[in-house]
Amino acid sequence: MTPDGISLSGVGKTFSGRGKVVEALRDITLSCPKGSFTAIIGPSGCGKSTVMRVALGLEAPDTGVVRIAGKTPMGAAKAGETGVAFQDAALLPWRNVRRNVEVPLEVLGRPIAQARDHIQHMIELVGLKGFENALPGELSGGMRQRVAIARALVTHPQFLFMDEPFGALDQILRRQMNLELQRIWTETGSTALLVTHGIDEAVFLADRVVVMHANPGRIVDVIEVGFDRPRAPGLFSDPAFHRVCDHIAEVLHGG
Amino acid sequence: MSLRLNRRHFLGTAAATAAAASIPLRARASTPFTMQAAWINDAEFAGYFIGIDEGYYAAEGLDLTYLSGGPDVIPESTIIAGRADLALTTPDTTIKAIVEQGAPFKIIGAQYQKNPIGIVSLASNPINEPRDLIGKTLAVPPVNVISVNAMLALNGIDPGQVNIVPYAYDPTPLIRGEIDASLDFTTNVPYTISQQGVEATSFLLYDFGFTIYNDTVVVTEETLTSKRAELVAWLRASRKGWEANFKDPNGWPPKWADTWFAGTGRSIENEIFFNNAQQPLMESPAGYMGMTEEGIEANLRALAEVGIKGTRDMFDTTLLEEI
Amino acid sequence: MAADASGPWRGLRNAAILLLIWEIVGRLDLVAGGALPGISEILIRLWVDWGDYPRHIGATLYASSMGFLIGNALGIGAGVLFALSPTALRLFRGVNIAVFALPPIAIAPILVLTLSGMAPRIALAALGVYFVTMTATVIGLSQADSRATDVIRAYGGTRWDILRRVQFRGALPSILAGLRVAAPNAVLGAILAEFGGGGRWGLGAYLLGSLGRGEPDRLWGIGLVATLIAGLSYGLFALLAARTVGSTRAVTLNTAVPDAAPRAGHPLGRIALTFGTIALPFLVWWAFIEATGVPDLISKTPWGVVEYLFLDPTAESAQTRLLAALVETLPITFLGMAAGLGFAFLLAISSRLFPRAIEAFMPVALVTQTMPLVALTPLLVLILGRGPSLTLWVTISVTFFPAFVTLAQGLALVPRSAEDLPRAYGASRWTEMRMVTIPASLPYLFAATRLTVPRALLGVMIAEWLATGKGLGNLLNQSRGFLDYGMIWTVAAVSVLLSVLFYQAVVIVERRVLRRLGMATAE
Repeated sequence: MTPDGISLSGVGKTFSGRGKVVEALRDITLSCPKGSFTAIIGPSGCGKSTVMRVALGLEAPDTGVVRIAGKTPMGAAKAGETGVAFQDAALLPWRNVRRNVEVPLEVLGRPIAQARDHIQHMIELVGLKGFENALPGELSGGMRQRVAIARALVTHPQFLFMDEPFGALDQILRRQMNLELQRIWTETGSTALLVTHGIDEAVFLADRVVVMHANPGRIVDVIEVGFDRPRAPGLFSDPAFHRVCDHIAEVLHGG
Repeated sequence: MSLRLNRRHFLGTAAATAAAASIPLRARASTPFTMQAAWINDAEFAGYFIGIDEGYYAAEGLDLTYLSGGPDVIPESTIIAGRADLALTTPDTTIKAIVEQGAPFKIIGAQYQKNPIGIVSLASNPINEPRDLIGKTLAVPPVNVISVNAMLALNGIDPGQVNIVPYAYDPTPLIRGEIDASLDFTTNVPYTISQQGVEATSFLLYDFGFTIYNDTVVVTEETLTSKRAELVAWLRASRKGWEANFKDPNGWPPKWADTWFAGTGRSIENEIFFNNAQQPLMESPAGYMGMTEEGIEANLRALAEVGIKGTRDMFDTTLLEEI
Repeated sequence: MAADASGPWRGLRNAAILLLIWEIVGRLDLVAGGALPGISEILIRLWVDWGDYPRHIGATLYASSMGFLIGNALGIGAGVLFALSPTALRLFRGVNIAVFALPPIAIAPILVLTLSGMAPRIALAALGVYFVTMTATVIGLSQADSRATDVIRAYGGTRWDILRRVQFRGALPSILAGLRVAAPNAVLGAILAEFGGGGRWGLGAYLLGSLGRGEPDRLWGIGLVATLIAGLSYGLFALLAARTVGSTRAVTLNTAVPDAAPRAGHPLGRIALTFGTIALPFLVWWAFIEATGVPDLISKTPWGVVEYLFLDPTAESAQTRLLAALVETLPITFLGMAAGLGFAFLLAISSRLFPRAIEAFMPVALVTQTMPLVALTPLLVLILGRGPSLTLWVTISVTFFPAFVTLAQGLALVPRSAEDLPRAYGASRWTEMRMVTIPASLPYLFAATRLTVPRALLGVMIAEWLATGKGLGNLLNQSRGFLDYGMIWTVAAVSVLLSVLFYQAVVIVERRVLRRLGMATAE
């Protein structure tokens, strides 16, 4: 158990609807030490997003316990210790970039005026200087995703949750965002949990890759990734990198 | 059903145009003829139902089509549009249209010698004369506001002293005491109210100076010239129908339970009450449907009080004389 | 999600509780001294009166079916034409808005004046159908999969081939969804025309005959039968849609009059098109009068109304009366619209926050929508009196339901991730509503506003006619008594014109606001 990290123990969750009962998660036990970067990977429908939603407190588990730094997920959320980025950027189309980044602060009831400089810093961190007043409709897909990252970071979270944050981006942009994310994560020193279906992304970013299988959703393996940090773009073409990727692919495909 | 009537009417118009007026009426096969009534089927139109059922119109050589009325139906419009030859109207409306819009109408007969419209109230909160209306709430159909104002003026009452609200054809607000009185057919509503276990009282506008007819028989000047013989025939058959009706006012309505009165939503007992109540309002020294000089004079006088300046030549009594 | 399985049962249970409350309240004569009868009293009365019903139902079904057929033939035909020709779509925009916006209460007397027999009923039913089907057709056809279109074109297919093989099939679910909404409209249109039109058969005629009896149980019975017919017609097309295209597409109450993007053409051409758009409704009006052949005295052409209002010797008096009526009608119309929208909005929000309570309320709300207002108004008078509060309630009751449906759809379409975001930061349901759901539903609020414009005017005019004796509703009715045909046409024209102007005003504000907020118009 990691009292100051993210811990799930014995988490189970079933959904029922239209006469069918689906076991989304069975006995998920996972602990992410403080300051670590964990990636969850698995085929569609394996329940990896559900793990994330349960860890965030958006879904209540049927069995098991979830703790974030010893608190319940909602407790941690209300204390402003978490940050989150979803698969689609989930920006509010009627708010400009700055006002979108402010959303978590508003929800937590923190003063916006005092955070002005910090908000600006976050926007600059994700490379959107000059776009503060643009509406999401005027931004490209990659830019929107970067707003979502800035928004996830604006509360100085000790815990960063990301559900396929770059899923909608093309390969080139995605690599670029991976690098930026690594830089940002290193700067903030937070504990990160990333859900992805990109093997190379998981290996490049994470300390540990959690592999899940479906029906029921369960963890089949946890693979440690020991490359030195900071990891350079060259790593993507390193044979050692590919060996790890191939191993994960084997596990994924029922190895 | 109405579609069939329309086609018949269309053919009828064509036939009537084609037929030369010189051919004697009785020698011809029956002539299509259409009348527009003022309201939905009830005892108000009993005489015409008898005339149709008993073949009085057929005997006069008329193939009569009867059109019912309703709140959106302006009977005068039907004759202007040529969809009927004759309409039953209220004389105030008709004369106002002649005076103000130059509408080419002639009144050739009158069903009610005394307008059955009156002020109906509950016996427990009776309104027996116009003066009692002061400070009270009276529901009046929008089309009749002018008549009420006239009656009030004739009795020296400022209409501003009476709270006039619209009447929505439903006596429930009166029965529940939301209003103190309503303007309606006195031949009808007191019975409806009694059916709800409450007693009603009423007085006629006619008895307080608003001396007008109702269900006046109106035709266009054009029809008056082109179909004079048919109009006389219609008046004759209608008078006969009404005479037959009042020989047995209780006997006729039950016969129509499955025909004329089917599906009206009203009860046969109600129609019997209506039929009896309307008899004194229809009797005239000139016979049913008749118009006396005194009656016409009284109409013109009452209407003049409300600023409708009718003249004697808007009434044509010569057809009645031919009956 | 686990609650889904028990959902229908819970809905039934809640409805049953509500019916029981109705029964008790009705039996004990708690509302307006017994003007609201108990359910059992209504059903017993229905049983007693049943002999009267078949012919009335038959007539209503006949008129509404004919109207439904004609309205749909026109709607689909026009929809195809508009989908093929953006120019035609722009040209007919004025006509389409006018048809959408016309308050049936103002049009019914006009139809009775100019048409005869069943025709006014069929026309009013068809008018209620045309717009819904036309929009559904245009949207269905224009949303065809462009790749499938390309396949046909790649094999040398003609425009007609594309229309036939791709677009029609693709549009079918949309058209069927349109028919589903249109069917009850046809029934209600027919009943309104029956009430005023003077025929012997039809539920509207039965209602008129029954009003005079002062027996609320009969009136509610007729309302219930009308509700049932409207509901069944909706169900019939829902079933048909499920069977033929296997689609259970969500019903959309479309309130946007379809429009084509202005094409960069010759400026003169564009001006001509704009002129044509405005002129066409008047041309249709004029052609209608020419076609019916009703004499000038009764039927007024657009020019006839202008003469009546500005040139005739009585013009001044006509203007004074019209203005006085407008001064009485307009403020309460706006107020009623705002209140109806506000109520719909609260209801839509509550349905997200307290879904169970709203589920139970819905069946009752549905009945108020098909219960003919002419039957309800005398009963409402007993509860609310004849002041502005009655007018407001009638207006709210005709506006809130369609507005609610539109808003609820909008709220349901807010992406889950957008709502998850504040929740992930521990936001309360209310904060989530305030920050995400409510602003996200803004396009639907505009859509609902467009929808309520003509309905608000309808509600106010009915209340004025039957209860308060003020404003346009009263003027229309008095004019009938005075044979003031000029005024009848004027009131009809002005009420349609007002609806159209206000509709356009909403559209303009909507475009500005949404563009500034970077949001799209809700279709």
